[in-house]
Amino acid sequence: MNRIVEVNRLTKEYGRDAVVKDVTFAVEEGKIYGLLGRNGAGKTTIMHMLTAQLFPSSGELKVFGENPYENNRVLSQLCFIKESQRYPDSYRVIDVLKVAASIYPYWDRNFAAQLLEDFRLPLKRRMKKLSRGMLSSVGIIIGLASRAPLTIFDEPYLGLDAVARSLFYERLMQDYAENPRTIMLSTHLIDEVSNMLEHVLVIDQGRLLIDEEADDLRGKAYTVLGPKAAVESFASGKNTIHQESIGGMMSVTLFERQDPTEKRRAEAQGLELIPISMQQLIVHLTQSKTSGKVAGFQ
Amino acid sequence: MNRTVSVMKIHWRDKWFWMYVPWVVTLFSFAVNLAIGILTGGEEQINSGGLITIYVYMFIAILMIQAQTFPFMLGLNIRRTDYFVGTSAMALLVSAVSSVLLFAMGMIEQLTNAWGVQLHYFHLPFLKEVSPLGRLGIYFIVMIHMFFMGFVISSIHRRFGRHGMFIFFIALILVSSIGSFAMTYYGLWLDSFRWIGVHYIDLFLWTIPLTLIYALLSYVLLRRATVS
Repeated sequence: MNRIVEVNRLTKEYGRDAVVKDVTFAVEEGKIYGLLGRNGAGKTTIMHMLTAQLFPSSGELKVFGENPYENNRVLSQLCFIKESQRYPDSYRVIDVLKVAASIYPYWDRNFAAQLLEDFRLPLKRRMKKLSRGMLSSVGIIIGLASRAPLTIFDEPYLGLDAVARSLFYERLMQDYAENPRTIMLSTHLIDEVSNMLEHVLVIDQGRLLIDEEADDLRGKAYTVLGPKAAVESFASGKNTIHQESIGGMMSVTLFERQDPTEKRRAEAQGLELIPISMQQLIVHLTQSKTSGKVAGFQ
Repeated sequence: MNRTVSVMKIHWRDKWFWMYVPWVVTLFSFAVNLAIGILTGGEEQINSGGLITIYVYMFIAILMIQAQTFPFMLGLNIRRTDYFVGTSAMALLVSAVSSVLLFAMGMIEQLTNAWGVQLHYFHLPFLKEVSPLGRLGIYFIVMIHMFFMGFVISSIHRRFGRHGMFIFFIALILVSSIGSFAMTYYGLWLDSFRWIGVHYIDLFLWTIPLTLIYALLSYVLLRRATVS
């Protein structure tokens, strides 16, 4: 597989505060990546650095094999849709789309027109007067119609309703199947996107916590439910990321691959083994009390 | 090169802001002056000075243009260099067009004998001795000087933020106070005014190196500027 992004010990500091610490990962061509983590984890900062809008404090960064800074060979292959994108005051929706059409080399006019209809955007309205959801729709249309070999969406659907969000997923998957490219998606709505993601990067407090294929990650954690004593003995020596008990019952979430023989043994003891969703897994991993412990994992 | 042209095209979407508004304002101010000239029956000589409007406008316009278009264009993955070159080229073009228009209006003013009402608006009396081509040149170099002065200030803001502006203006005030104190101390004020009275054309020429320095500084600052 062709690596189109290579990040090596990337660090971004503001004064003494490190927002991104020692992050190393690679992105392979033709996959959908999820960049997940809590607010302020450093996701947006990483994406800004990938697109040379911010400068790293230290570490290496290569996009399409080159440094992206002031490099049109790299920058013309990118499309970065961010929640904080600003537009000139005088711009209407149509102005933004015309500019995008002239800037992005792989722009598909027909696709953009179709998306415009799908999202019901008022073409002549000023960007300043758009609602938060409409503003997000403009970003989504640009991100999809640009067909950039590396498209990065940072929280692309702030303020969008569920209908528009599912429309986005649908169009994204459709177009991705017809025009393969690499997509990086950062979001809080993990449950909604977890089925689309092929690879997951989880960032917590500036550090890379997880860098795994989504399928591997799904089988990697499960919850054990049953009488307290039995659960405790089952979980001992295993990597516990979350536990709860009510009365005599206990549930423990383990960050380990399930072993079939153990599973049978557990079930014989009356324990219940439940798979957990990616969202639950990430919530457990990034809750501050456990995050330090799991960071050693990888 | 391609992307530089794209930057210029993006700027030209705001042709109102770049070109039309300053001219609407200037022509309106001219019309008011002309009305006064007609009402006074052309008995009084009017040296308006209203021409300064368009120059001040250029200075302020670029502050606003950069604040709005730099984050927008960087967000579209346009290089900082392309932004700088495209924006500068746009300013040169707009200044050139405006200078030619100012010059043409100045010619009409001369031909109509100051609009028939002794109104000196576009053709400045103190430039009487300068050749027509020289006058056109002065309109132009002063305008791009105003533009790049605004450009360098907005670039300082872009690069160093509000604190940077604060330090810059404190330094500027300090330097000018010390300078003016020194001028008083060494009794240079009168001499320098006398010098300006004779050599004011040279002052116009001195804007050229200043403009180049502003442009270079703007470029260096923008190369390290970020958006979030």
